[in-house]
Amino acid sequence: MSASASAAPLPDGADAAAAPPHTVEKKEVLFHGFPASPGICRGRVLVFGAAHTDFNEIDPIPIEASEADAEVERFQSALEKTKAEIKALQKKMQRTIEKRDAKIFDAHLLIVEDKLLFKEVVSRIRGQLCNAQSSFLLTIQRYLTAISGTNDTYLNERAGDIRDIANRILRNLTGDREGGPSLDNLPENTVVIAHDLTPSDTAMLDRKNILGFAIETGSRTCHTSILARSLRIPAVVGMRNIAGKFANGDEVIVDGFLGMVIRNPSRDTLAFYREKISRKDELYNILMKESSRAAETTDGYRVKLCANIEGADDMEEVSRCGAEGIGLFRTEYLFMNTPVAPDEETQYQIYSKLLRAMRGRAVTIRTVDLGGDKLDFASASAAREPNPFLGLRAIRLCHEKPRLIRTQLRALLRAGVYGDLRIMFPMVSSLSEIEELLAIRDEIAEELKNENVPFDPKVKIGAMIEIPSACLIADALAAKVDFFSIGSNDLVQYTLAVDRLNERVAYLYRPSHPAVMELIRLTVEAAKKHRIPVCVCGEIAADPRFTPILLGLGVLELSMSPNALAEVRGVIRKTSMLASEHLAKIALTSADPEDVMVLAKEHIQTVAPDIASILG
Amino acid sequence: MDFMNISKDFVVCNPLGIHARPASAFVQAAGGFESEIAVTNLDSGHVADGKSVMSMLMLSAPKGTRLRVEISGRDAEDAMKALSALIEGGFDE
Repeated sequence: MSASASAAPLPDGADAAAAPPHTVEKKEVLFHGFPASPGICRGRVLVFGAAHTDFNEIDPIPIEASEADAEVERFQSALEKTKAEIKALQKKMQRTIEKRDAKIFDAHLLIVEDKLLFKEVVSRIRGQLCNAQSSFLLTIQRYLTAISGTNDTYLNERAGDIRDIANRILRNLTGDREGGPSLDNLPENTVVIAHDLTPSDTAMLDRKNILGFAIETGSRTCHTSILARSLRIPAVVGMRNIAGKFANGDEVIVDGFLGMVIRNPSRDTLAFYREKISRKDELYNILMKESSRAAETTDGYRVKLCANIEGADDMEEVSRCGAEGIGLFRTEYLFMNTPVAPDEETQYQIYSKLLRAMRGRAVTIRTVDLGGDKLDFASASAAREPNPFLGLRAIRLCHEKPRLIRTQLRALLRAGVYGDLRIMFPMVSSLSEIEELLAIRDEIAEELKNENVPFDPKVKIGAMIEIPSACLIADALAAKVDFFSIGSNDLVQYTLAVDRLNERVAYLYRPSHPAVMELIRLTVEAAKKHRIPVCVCGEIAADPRFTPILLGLGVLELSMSPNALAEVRGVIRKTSMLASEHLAKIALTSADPEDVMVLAKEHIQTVAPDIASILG
Repeated sequence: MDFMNISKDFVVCNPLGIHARPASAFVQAAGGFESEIAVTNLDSGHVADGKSVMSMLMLSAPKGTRLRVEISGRDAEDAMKALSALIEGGFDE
């Protein structure tokens, strides 16, 4: 049964609003977005973060007549809560700010207590049978429209006050605590719905209880999507203006294959999805049984599969999935959500613990890649970055914040004695940068030697290849370093000049673009010439559809999130190098990225139809 | 005290017009009287309930707007005195 066939009888959000209510159970409503991470889950909603409501675009959410009293009560108690919050805030502020400024809270209180506002919302709930949120939003919208007659700073000031207080009431209506709930301690079976999630929001994510994401912004390649895929949980992005349509505790299904979120799923919908989930689990279990087998093609080529991890907590996953090493340990998470950078000793402890746990298997640690979409720690300078992805980030910080990289290198060289450590420098764009970093490494080694501190002088140093210029001078770089690691996400974004976080141009972000393929080929060629290993550690390494093409381009080392390993291994074991090289040749000469994808999908469909079926 | 209807016209003189703070000052002051208070924006014809802050905000009354305040009730005279002082004093802004 195809999912779309079953989804057809489900009412669409807009139709549902117009249709008369006819059942007692809560109405099923379908919301569409873009699929960002495959999978299906059923859980309870947690609306995260301050509401970023677009007051211009509100769909009324219908309720049953029998629910009206409860909705009015919900609205009343949200107002009471808001009042209490403002009074508390006012008390706190009176001590710290001028009395005249504290008066703005009087205005906010008066809005919350305003009898006209209350009357109108209640009459919408009872008269039009809309839920409390949409009734409230529609009322606020009317006010905002009414006052937009004049357009000067005067208007903006008033509208700002109303929006501010409206967001506060809305938060209480959806059940969030002030400033939003935290993600580090979630109730069981949680689906997080948010306008946007930043890396610092998700750094503390409670991975045991999160089942899926639905976010308003984003694209397949934004931070949340990548995180969701690495956690192997479904995510739907680009869901415009949905956060206000859910309340905490709502039951939902997230379909990461079709890019749908279903609120209050009906019995039929639940039955359909139950069947789908069990098929997926079955295949996963079969693939996991093969986790100790070598990733070898049908014609005998061995591929080294490693894991990307973000913290020492992920170690259990690493050994379960049968990874041969750690191909990417991202250290920026050590630096986020903390007011000061972790000192050398703290870092040394973390790195050496990791190396010891891996018992001699290779561990590649990337020096801190702050900047771009992960700006928290360097936020003081972030504020001045007009174009963060082309700005001061990663190794480029070594001049402005020399202590950052030096402290980390000291900790790394010291930890190196506990295993097979490789240090990787991100964002290399020219030869002089690598030369400079190698000189710093030498200085630090000298320092440690003079201080009689034990360290490993032979720690391997590698360059992350993620900027087109680095691919084009790969030959010169390969002569200086011990290994390459291709970071495909940034490589694609820099090659195609597409901001992967901008959903309006995300359709142009095509990893299968022949230009990207050619840059990978050049990099592999240089690495082979200088006899250094080359690994691909970006998103495409975790996508089984790309596995044969990468093998064909000569990549024999892949690093990905532990959860993706089973499928990639499954594809490798069913494909041949001969076929892979053929695919790569076509990928290099195709004019259209879409042709390459079609071909790659067809190949998977042929060699591993079971895996193809769960890729969606 | 007798039931009275009083009406008086003003020009908004505070620089930011009737935004949240002035509106709330007005509504707070108006709330202290039992009389009914209507405020008309003479430039647009829009009428607001002087005891509802939302209603007052919807007057759209930047600096220079002509307002008519109409008060009816037993304490209308006192109410007009207090509200006049507020508007003419530029809401202490």
